[in-house]
Amino acid sequence: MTYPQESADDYVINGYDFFRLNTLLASPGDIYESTQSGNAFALGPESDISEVVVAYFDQQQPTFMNQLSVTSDRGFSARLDANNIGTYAPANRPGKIYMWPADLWNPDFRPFGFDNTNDRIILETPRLDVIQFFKQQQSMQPQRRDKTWTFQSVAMNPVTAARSYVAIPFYGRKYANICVALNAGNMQGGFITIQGHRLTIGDQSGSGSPSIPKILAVQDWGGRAMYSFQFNAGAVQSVGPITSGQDMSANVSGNGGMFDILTVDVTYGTAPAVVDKYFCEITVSDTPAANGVVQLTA
Amino acid sequence: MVDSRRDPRRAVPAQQLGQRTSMVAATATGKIGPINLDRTGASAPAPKAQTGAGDNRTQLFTYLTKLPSDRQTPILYNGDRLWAKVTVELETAGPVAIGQQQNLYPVLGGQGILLETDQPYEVIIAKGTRLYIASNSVNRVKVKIEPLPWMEQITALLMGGKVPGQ
Repeated sequence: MTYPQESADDYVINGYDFFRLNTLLASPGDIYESTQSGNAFALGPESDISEVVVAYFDQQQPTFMNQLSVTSDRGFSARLDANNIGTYAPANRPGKIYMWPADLWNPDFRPFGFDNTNDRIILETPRLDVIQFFKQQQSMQPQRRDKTWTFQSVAMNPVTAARSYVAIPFYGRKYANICVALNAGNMQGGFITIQGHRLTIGDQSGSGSPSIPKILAVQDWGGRAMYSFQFNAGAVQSVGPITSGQDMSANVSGNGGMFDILTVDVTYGTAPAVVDKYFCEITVSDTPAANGVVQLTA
Repeated sequence: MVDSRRDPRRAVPAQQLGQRTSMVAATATGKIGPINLDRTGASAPAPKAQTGAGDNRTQLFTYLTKLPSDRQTPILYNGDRLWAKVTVELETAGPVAIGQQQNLYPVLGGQGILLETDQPYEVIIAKGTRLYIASNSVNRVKVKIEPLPWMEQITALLMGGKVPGQ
């Protein structure tokens, strides 16, 4: 998050017709503000967050604050005033427009069963992108763009059964295409695991991460290949061992948009003597795949 | 150019000096009251020779509203000049109110006219009327001020302006 955050007033002074808040989240409790009134609100194309709460001054509420949600499927096209003179009750804070992500985020997220000693993780911070329009919009179809995460070289810890994760935001997404390329010569008996995680608010006094994981695909292979999984997220899938030289692809149907974080991890069957690495590319989209049938081809 | 008043060859006969066009007696002849036929009464001032001077200029600018620090309502147009047609257009979301009262707060309280985004609002300001503007936030407002100098003459005629020298 850039600090201080972007100023909506500067957008007005500089002649823009909108105020765009485009920032990485800094904490689970980020709250952003706008001192400008707006005629429409929508998620921006770069947003990983799928739902943003917009709070505004409403003198008919006991606290003078009312809220609405802007999602990747639905924007808000009406005027909301920033009452910079009035104050909310009982905090006595200025009656500006406040915005914060409705999706849960934990910058210390670790997949369930993560080994703090041997496992590794690359955790991508979600981006919040919301646009406040100063002028009335005749029509508005907010839509996030498809986003591709590319990890050229993810290091593997040369410890048997150690897992090396990449974790990306998956809020509200309905489709993902995952490609993993690795040196299969070192990966005999190893695993590629794809998990969708649903974050919850819970007691963290015990071990493990407060998330509810769902294993989407676990694959055991025995040779060199590029493995590609396409799925709508939601179903559990297990695939059998793959012989050398074969490519694998999988289409999984299910209830899209139900996961907050998507992880892909690779683990050795028997760790080699040197550090190995793998390539991973994940493309996510709000558009579900046309083919929703469970299908496994070799 | 020769000034006829100084050129002795064109001196005005003495008996003609001091004679002026007589005014119709100021007696009420009807419901509209006395009429001043002196065309020079309450005339609009001639354009000034200096560039940028004079009260007949058209003004075009973008006004940035701001949150008032001391509840003093800013003046958008100080109507101490001639009659003028003022056109304002809100470019952002507002809320912005304009009115002839000094106290326009709260902005949504109805004391002024609430501007709508991208909708020009035109008002003819009489001489001596100020136009105030109020807002709760920073907004862009397009302002166009066009003088109406002939309104000054019409007003004077209707109100029975004094004839110089009488």
